[in-house]
Amino acid sequence: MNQETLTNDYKREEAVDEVRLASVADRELIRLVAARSHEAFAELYRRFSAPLFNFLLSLVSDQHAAEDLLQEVFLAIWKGAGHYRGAAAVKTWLFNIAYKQAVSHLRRRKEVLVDDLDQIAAAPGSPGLSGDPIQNRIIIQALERLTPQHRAALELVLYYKMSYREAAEVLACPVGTVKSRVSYARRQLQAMIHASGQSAEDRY
Amino acid sequence: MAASNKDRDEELNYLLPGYINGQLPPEQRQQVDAWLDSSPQAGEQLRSWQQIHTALQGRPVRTPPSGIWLALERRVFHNDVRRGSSAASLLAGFALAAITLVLLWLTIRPGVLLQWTVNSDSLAAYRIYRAHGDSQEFVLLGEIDSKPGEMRYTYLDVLSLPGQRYIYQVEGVTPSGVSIVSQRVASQPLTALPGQLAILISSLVLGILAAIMVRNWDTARLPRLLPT
Repeated sequence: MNQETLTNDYKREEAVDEVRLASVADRELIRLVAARSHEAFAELYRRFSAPLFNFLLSLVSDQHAAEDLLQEVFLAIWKGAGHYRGAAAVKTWLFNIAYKQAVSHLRRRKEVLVDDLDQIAAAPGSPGLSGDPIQNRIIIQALERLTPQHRAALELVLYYKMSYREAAEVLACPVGTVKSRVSYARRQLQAMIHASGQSAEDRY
Repeated sequence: MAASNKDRDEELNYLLPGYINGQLPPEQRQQVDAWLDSSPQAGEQLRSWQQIHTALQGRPVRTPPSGIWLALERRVFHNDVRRGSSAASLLAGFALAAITLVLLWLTIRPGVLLQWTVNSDSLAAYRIYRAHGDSQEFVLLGEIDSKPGEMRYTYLDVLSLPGQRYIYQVEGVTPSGVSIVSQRVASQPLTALPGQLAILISSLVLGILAAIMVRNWDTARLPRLLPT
């Protein structure tokens, strides 16, 4: 059996593995990762790297930091898959790891994140509610001014479609705290939209 | 009554994200529908949530650069390869340390050196005895045959342990079997220690270096599992 045959055999086996793993449930995938399956780890990365990366990016607002953190998150998953007991959904467990990594990074960076939205309201180039794309941009800018805790709570519930209980597991806090954070974040964003609309009316 | 309505509105307001995402069970969905039909404020709340939801959905979804997976692959799988060879590296390190230890010990021979001189070569042999500390229980360590014309003799006790105090005695034996016993001499506890320590540390260092070298030797990469 020559080298080429061996390589082709390996590629066929790998392709079969990929097809098989694509239909495996998340929990089973974690079990395989805990058993040190490289293919399962690659499949897990395929499934969750993009949402986790976007979540991290939203929290730290820094492309390079988000890339480093994503690497650390998956390294933690590889090392800690054996500790997953199935009490929480896999998605919740993974987002919790990502959230802890992001919070730890922000603490190291010692960045002060404020809730003050007035600066955005007064910023030039915010022409108000003249069109949806502009309004969306205002909302996203306002979102970036929230603290990571409020931003994370709002995004988990509204964007990543988690229940309040799941979001509480990710953020490691009571459900009531998540509700109040989400509610506060929405009120802040709403105030921002209103303020930008008001400033547009004043200008015209 | 007003307070209870406010609480109810607040609870229903919390359900709006799930309502927008289609995550609510049918019963709660019906509650929200009824609320929206009955309250103009509810409609405002829903529009507020929808504005934010639309903005979030409209954000570009970033794909992590492929370099992240490559780096991850190196860190995770490369470590596995190295972990696989750890037994071999341990064995190599232990073997080299043992060989070095034996060779150095036989070459340098750290221990307590006994020297004595005789006035004549009339004795046939010399027996060397050793007692532990202050005990009187002498044990025969070895015997040296007398050599014609040789007046100076040495014996190296390589089995002495560091930190121990020993008492030595040499017994000269005549051809007819009569014993002449020498005076007793005591060794210092640390007499052999420097040499022994030097050999042990050298062996250990070489062993560790060998283990590290073998561990880093096998760096064969696993097949690439780049996700697409």
